[in-house]
Amino acid sequence: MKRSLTSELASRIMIEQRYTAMKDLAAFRRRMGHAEDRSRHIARFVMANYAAGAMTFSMVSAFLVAWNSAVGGTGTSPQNLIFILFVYSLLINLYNGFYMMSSVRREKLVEPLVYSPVPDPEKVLFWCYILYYGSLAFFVTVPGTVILALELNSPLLIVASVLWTAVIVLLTWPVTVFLTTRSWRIKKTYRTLDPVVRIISFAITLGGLEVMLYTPQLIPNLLPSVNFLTSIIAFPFNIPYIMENLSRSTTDLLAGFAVTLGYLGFSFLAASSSGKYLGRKLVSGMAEVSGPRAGRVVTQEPIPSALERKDRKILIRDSQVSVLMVIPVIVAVPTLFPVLVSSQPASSNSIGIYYLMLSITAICASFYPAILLIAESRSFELWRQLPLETETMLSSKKRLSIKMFALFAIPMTILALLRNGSQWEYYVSVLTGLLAGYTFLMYRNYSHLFSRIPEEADRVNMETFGGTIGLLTLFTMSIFFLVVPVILGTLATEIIPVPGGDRLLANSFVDAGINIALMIWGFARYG
Amino acid sequence: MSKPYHSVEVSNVSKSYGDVVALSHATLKIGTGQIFGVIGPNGSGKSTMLKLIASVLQPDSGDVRVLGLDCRTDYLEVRKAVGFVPEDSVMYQSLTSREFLSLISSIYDIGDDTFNKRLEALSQALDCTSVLDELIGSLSFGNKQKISIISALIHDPELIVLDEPTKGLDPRSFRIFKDMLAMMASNGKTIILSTHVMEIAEELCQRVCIIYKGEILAEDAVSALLSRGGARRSLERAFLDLTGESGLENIPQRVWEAFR
Repeated sequence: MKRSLTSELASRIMIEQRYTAMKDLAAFRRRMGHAEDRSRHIARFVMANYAAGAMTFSMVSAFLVAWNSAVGGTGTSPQNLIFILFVYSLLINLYNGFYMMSSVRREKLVEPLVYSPVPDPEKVLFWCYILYYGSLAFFVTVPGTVILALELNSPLLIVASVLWTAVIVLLTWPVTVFLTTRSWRIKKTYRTLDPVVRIISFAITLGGLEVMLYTPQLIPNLLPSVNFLTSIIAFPFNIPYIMENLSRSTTDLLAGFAVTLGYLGFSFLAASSSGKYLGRKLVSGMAEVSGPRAGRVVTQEPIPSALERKDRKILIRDSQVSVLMVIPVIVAVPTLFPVLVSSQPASSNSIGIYYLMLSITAICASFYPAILLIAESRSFELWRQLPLETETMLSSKKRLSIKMFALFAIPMTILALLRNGSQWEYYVSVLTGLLAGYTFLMYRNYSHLFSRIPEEADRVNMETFGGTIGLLTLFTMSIFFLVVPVILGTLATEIIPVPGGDRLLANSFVDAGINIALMIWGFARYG
Repeated sequence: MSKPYHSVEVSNVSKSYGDVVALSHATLKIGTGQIFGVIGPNGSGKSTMLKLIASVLQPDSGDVRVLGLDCRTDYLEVRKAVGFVPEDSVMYQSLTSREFLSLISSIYDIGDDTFNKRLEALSQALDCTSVLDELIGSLSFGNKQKISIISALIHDPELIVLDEPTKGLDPRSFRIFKDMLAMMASNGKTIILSTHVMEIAEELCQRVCIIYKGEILAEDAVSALLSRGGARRSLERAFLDLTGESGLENIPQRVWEAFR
């Protein structure tokens, strides 16, 4: 196949993916209405979205390194910074690859390629991933490394950074292909064990990486304790080791680049062979069907329980949704890790870490509205056919989101309380406050996101909510609403004398009080 | 409560999507107990008309009244009384057919016994009992359409709105479905269906309207429209004449010549 046709089809898939989500947005329609060449305008609009994402990643990357340089000795080491950037790009790539393949499958974007005489449709998907998803990884790693290279006067860092990013981009493709095509098998029925295995595997992989991120001292402590060969070979821990030692000696330089090029060759081979596997799956795998299962009796329930049961089933059976729903706990648990393994006695520090952990869970879980609304996908048309108020449909999702958060927060609190062994009133106060704060966030976020869905929309996905930028705004607003009560609580306890002098406890009471007030206001405003 | 003489009254309704006008100043009355056909070429506004009647969409201007209810203010009551099969069936792919239909029946508060009795009758009639416990996402197009039809009929609606309902149905199910519609209409239910297949409209409908580029060009009894078709007396002829698409005979010849 001609290279130009492959890249043209790759861009068509990416544009189509974004277009299906944006076509019903009022702002998009307005722009389209004025555009002379609509097709070109759509392509430009989509590319502008890509550019916005690239710019955001570049700014975050550059800011992280520049800020670390500015704070000087109190910041983290260059090796940790490199590790954080590369692990972040690895996670972003895995997520993007997974998202791309899932939506390609869901929106049936690949079918025109399979049904037409395109000789290698898998190559089109590969180039779509490389050009429009994987390439974003370079904006995560390179800007930060450039600043670091200037700071350390080591231009070779930039070269190594580009090569290792290419390794990550190429390596995540076969992983994504393998993981997603497994779920392409058409299932007639459903096995409860599937999501359990899926979530546990995901939790082990991501949780392991997160533990490294939350305990950055682990890498510098770990690397000198293992031998040179392990340090330079064990992916992805070898990336910071190789990059930092490039300018130490000629041997390190040569060994470093030899390993880098070795990985590049291997990842290229892995990506190529996964293409053949994907090609076979595209043609035959989509028609594979699992075995039937005996019929069951389904009993009916009142509307709220019936809707919640439907949401629970979607959550469990849709791999993308189930994985996204457990992310808060996977992200937060490493914060608990130092508390649990710490040999120090109970302290205000461990209470602070507990508070941080629960806040991280709440912030990550503030995305539940987006996840559960996106999970509805094309079913929004069904919503409008049923004799139900939108609020009834949304309230089952609100309840489920709050239950999921409580399901994570309560065991975390019990674990932290067992470890600390005292000051239970503080834990109860924080838990109550954050449950109330989270309930308010759910009411607010559902209302905000739902208002962005156009009346005639026949499907909903991430772009409906403004894509990366929209979700970043949601993230920022969620942090804002969780932080404001803390600031007000701190100010209050600074200004007003605290009886007994336990400012921390008083602070948590004020914080909980404000959150409860917010929750009541949220019921009235958005309920 | 006695049934209104007209189940559906559409008065001067317009609907646009951005700058695309889907329906312009449409007016229509559909009598109770009729099978009413909505015909028109692709993109003519048929689906929009049906969605407005099913209260899935709200008009930009004008009024839609269904069974005496205002679709703008009483849209939930309207939806309770309507069974709607959209052109592209929208169902939860990760639920089994039975789970999905049970969800629908919970929403319409049908009750276990009634639900089971109706589900058994409908699934046997449409020959899809064997797929009730399979995930909807794994069903063939035809079986999905059957489940969509069951979901629209299971709450025994007064008004049944069907957008291209026969797409994907096998000959047996197609025959039974047509007979079911005729029986429902004879028992006082109103049925509105859109179709591209003129034979279906001719065979099933008492009245039809022809929509073209968002406007209703004609609305009449099928027999009256047939007489407009001249000597050939076909609905297809009348449709082509009304939409100004006559003289199509030369097109295949032109296409053939383009390939030579």
